[in-house]
Amino acid sequence: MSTWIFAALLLLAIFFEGSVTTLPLTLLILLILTVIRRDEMVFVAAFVAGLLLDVLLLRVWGQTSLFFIIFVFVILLYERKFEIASLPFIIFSTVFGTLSYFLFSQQTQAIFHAFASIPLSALFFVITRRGVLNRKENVG
Amino acid sequence: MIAEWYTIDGMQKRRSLISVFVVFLIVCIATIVLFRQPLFHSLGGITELLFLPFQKITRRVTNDELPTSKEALQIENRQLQTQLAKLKLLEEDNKALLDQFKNSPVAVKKLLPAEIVGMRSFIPGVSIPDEIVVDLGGVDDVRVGDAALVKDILVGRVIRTSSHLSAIQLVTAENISITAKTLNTHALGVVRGKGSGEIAIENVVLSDKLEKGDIVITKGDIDASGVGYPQDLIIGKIISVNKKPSAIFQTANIQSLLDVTKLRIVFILTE
Repeated sequence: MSTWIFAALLLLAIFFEGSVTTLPLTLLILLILTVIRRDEMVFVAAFVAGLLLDVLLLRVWGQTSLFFIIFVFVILLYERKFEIASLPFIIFSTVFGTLSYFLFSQQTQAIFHAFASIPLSALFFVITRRGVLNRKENVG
Repeated sequence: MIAEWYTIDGMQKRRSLISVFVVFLIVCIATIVLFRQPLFHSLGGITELLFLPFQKITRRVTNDELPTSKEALQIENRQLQTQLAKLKLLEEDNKALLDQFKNSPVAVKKLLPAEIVGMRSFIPGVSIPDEIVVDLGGVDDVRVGDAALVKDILVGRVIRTSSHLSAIQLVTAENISITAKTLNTHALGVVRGKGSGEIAIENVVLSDKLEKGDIVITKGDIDASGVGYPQDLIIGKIISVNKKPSAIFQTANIQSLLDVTKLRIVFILTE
């Protein structure tokens, strides 16, 4: 999936999470971006996304970026040990990431949001993986 | 077979990953530390102004502003207006007494209209949020602790401010507590938010009377700096009373008179 599409989706997720919903859309997009791209550019996206969220939600600047950076780092560490571009890993990371994010940002109903985020991240992962595979087929 | 991370290429990739992570970690920590500096405030203000139009568009696109005119609401509205009229009469009497005895002047308060640019809930327009974000901030003289209201109904209190934005914790949010009394029976208690749009008045002594349908208003807890909830603001209406003779206190569940999900503008009470 093109970088620009991911950037647009991330920006959309930031605005929706900053104004409309408590679902951790930005975290989910970053998770999918990390498992698809698997390079250090994801850190830039994580930092900028976190900073924008902090502005919109009136948090201490850098607070959410710090969490996102650590989250992305942990995901990339596991790249060596597991197949991270797989649905079970996405589901596990969604639950673990959402729970941690809600505890870190002192939001309520963490467990509820963790399980509510699973279908979203799974759906997005399936769509993006299909998009990446189709692109590889076209190039190949 | 050698595991991938033990190969030279794997180790180099790992080192590169760790280096990039450490760099961004330092940048994040530096951002957090420098957040309070005046330069960052100016930068923050500019960023907020840049994103404010997009926030408003996002909010307006997703906000469902269906009209809510039903017959029962109209009747209730008339009853409330009657009660408010009585309150106003009391206010005038009080003012006359104050003028008569030349009490120390009450600081002049002003009402600032603020548009809601952020209302985050699980299902937008359906779930009740715990806080809202409005388009007024420090540059508009909004302070932490200022009350937010619509007409005479308390919406919440400002809990965070930045240059151009403020976050208001709603009365239905968890961990909020307001000293309050009932309009008809003058029972004293503490209103606590339970989350998900629920409110309760607690710590009411058994000797006080709680009536279903009675209006709960703020008792007033403004501190020396002028920050706090003004008195006689409507919080909600009692919908059920929980009174057990064996308990020390009685409680009652309260329903807010406002549908926060339909609001577009609130007013911040500030000096």
